[in-house]
Amino acid sequence: MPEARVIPLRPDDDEPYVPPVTPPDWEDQLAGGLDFLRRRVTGGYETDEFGFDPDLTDHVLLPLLRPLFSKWFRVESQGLENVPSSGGALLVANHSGTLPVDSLMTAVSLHDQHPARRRLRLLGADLVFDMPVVGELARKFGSTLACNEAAERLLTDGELVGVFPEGFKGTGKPFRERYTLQRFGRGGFVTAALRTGVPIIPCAIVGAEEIYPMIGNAKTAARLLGLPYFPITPTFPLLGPLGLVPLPSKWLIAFGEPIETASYGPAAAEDPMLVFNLTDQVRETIQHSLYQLLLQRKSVWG
Amino acid sequence: MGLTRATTGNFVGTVNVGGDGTVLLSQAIRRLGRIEVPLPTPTLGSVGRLSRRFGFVDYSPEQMRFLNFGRVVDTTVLRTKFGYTPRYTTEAALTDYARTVDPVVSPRLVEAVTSRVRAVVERVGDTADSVGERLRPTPPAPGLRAVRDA
Repeated sequence: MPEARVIPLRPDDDEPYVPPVTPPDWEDQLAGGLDFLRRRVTGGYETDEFGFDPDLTDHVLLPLLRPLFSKWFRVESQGLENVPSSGGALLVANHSGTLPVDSLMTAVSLHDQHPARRRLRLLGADLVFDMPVVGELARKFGSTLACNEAAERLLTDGELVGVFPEGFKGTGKPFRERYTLQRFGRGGFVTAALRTGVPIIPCAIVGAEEIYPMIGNAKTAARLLGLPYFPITPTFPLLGPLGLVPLPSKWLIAFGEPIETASYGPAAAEDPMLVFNLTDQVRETIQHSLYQLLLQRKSVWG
Repeated sequence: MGLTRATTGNFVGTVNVGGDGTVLLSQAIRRLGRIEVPLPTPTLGSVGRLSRRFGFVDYSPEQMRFLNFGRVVDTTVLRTKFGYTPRYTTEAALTDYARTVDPVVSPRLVEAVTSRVRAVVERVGDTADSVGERLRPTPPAPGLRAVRDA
């Protein structure tokens, strides 16, 4: 049925008719796609000093992750208002799920659901950047090697940096230890935040633990392949490549209240006691928030 | 100007010199309209010797290492303490260089191809639309009249 036309009775005092927003039609999409291809072939796109490629991220990587985010894991985010709209901030989250899918989903959440469409600059382990294709894509997605110099540079540039202090200990822990935080490194992330005076935002992610439940670890295979662990899940390696399909668990991501660090001053980064206490405070906050989220979630698949 | 300042200025020490901004190797190749040919690292030596002998390109092993792993230098000291900003950014320098090499894949060709594809697809779309309209004509809009109140 065609839509009824609005005919103003008095043309002067009526509100102007605003046409409803229509999704871009296929012709616009095609034009956009062709434009993108032209840019890629001629190199007419921008990249930054860390190799971040916003053009590829927006037009290829994020659209690929979006169905996984909204349809498969049905991610719900809470406390997005705790993430500042501008300026540097350090997001610290728990790590789980055998493969680091949780970091990607957090990045999608902040880009698509935060009003300022913030980009999350992830810090990854060297193994990620040593892998042939994954490493290059990770760089183009805006990730960089987890080291204090890089983190501090990104933070002073006003970027939102995401860090997972548990590292491989978090992703490679057995399924029975799900949602218990592992040791938090040596507090390098706190030092980076103190030196640059940016707030630390504790972030709890629930749901990533169930995507690849790790029931075993083939240590010999891991050593042969040079990996920190070789996961055995109910479907992998039993079903081969099919075992790489993550289980569709329900995800909740909660961004906690920022812990400010500016008042301590940059010199406080040298104080091991303060660094230790702050690390512990962040860890406790995330653990507490994890338990709260688990209570909120009706079931693993809910 | 930078060299004058280095000899007559009062800055002492080592300083990184480089233009502002970065360009990836893949991006540089595409901007110059050239084609990327990946080679395994062990073959680089012999390829280099061959290309040198036949006078194509002359490159040394150090330069190869520069190309193999990206280099980004922090030029903050150059700009703030040394007090010099290169006239060209990295991007502008590359664009300037691109004017002197003739591209294999010219941007104009790419532009022509994409606009041609777009035109063809649009024409196909228009034809499909008109065929669809002929098969299922849209019902005429109900007659509406504006009523002017007194």
